[in-house]
Amino acid sequence: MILFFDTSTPNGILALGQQDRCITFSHWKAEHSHSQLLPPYIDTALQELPNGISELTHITVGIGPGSFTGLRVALATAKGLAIARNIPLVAIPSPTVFATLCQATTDYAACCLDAFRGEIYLGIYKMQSGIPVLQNDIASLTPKVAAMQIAALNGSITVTGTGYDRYRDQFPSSVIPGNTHYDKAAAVSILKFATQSIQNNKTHQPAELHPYYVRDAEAVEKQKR
Amino acid sequence: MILAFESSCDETAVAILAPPRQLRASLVASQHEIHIPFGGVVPELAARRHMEVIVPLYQDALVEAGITLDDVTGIAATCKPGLIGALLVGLSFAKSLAMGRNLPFIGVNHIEGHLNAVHLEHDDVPYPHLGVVVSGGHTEFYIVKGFADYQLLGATRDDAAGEAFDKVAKLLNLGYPGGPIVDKRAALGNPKAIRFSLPKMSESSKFGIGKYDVSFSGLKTAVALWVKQNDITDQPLSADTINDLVASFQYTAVEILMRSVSQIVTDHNLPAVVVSGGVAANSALRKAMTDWGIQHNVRTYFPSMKLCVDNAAMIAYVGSQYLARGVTSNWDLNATASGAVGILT
Repeated sequence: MILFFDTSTPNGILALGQQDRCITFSHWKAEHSHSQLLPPYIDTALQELPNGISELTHITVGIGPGSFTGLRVALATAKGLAIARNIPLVAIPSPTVFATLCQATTDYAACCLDAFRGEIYLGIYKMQSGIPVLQNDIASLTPKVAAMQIAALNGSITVTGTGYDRYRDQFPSSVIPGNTHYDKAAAVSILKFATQSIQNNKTHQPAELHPYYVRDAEAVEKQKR
Repeated sequence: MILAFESSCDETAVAILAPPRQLRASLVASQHEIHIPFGGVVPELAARRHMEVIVPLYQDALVEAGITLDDVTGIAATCKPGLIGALLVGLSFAKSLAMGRNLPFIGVNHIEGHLNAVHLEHDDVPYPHLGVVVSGGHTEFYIVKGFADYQLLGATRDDAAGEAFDKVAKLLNLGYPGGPIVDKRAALGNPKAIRFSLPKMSESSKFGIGKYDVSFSGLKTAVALWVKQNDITDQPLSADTINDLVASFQYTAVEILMRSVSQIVTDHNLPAVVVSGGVAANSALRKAMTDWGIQHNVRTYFPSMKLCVDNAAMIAYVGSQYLARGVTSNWDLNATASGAVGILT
């Protein structure tokens, strides 16, 4: 049984299940309090399992990029649970998490997460059997550059994410907006991604997995300048 | 066995305690090297480092204690006050570890940890006593009437004592962290070479008892002014002059603390003083406090150096005391940058 969660953006999300079976999923809005909300959501979800937490076999966690603090809340929580249950972790890039909101039948899906400081994190995907497959190196880009990369794609594209919501006017009018609300289809897609990763032995021990920050701390960036 | 985590600032710490005071492991991973180029703690870098080391440090602590997670009966973690991003690493890890094992969990106030660190080494500390917490982030005076029974009487109105040491060290390019460096250099200088005045405190304060409050920002400014007036470009300050300067600064800083300690002990007729926090490691403060205690027949207690700095042993002790009283925190406990002692959820 796989427990998944991501707190890389103000939209916290969670799912419990495996393969294409989602037992429960939840989402919440939290600007600064994922630490307060995530554990109770986990606790509530685990109550859906007849044998509780002992049924967990893997923890899947959104590793970023995204809110630095949000990533650490999710990773620290995931590591604690994994160590306590002696089970491995599965990493999922956070843009991949939100790309699951693009289940439309377009050629591509793109997730643009707000990276603040006037930038977004862009992930471009092809959907294969309902699973987002990353096509680029996730980078921190200005909305203008991200929009140019999206416009250069040869095919139809669905776009979602907090960065798209914020900078929507800078994107090509031809893109199709993805879902804005996390739903069971997206939860199933994430659980399928996790199941596939497990089948491919892409699992991690708690000490090995780290947040995928993409960017340095602001103080370090200033020092470099 | 109580497992505890501390990550409120720039030290990641894990401890394992067999209550009441048998410390089986107490490990601290310092981040000073990371922050030296910036002349102070960079919160984001601190949080990143906590994230990197918390699992290996936890694993090392279990090995050192010779136990497994199966032997742990309760988990504690610092939840306030401190740097939010840093606190959240230890707190989130500790909560999920407890949830994963269905163990009781308790969030602990960092200041309360400092106030109680002394009990890990002394079983004869009388109540009530004056608890003085002096560190890089805090300078506070409490009447400690018993465990979890604290009355705040005064605090700094601006810089914490340790912060003043760091800022003076930075001003003189002596390095970071400033406390130990100033202490070392001051030992080579004349503490009465330069006369800095003690701050005049008004009666009003946010705590309502202004006469016990302290202030270090005036002293810091006086040092900066002295340097400006005496540090001529073609004649930079000599090493001896810097030694005299920091010795005089340290002497005055200790005087500021001792003035409040003396007033509180006298006004409240307290039999003992417990000094804790990073600045409690300062040799001049230890000597002044000890001498004053002997002179006034007041018992003085300092935790050992390893318990003065930020550590998880003190968090384990406080956590064990609360858990033994059946007090636990809920899973929705959040980290907060500030917060009074004794209030846990």
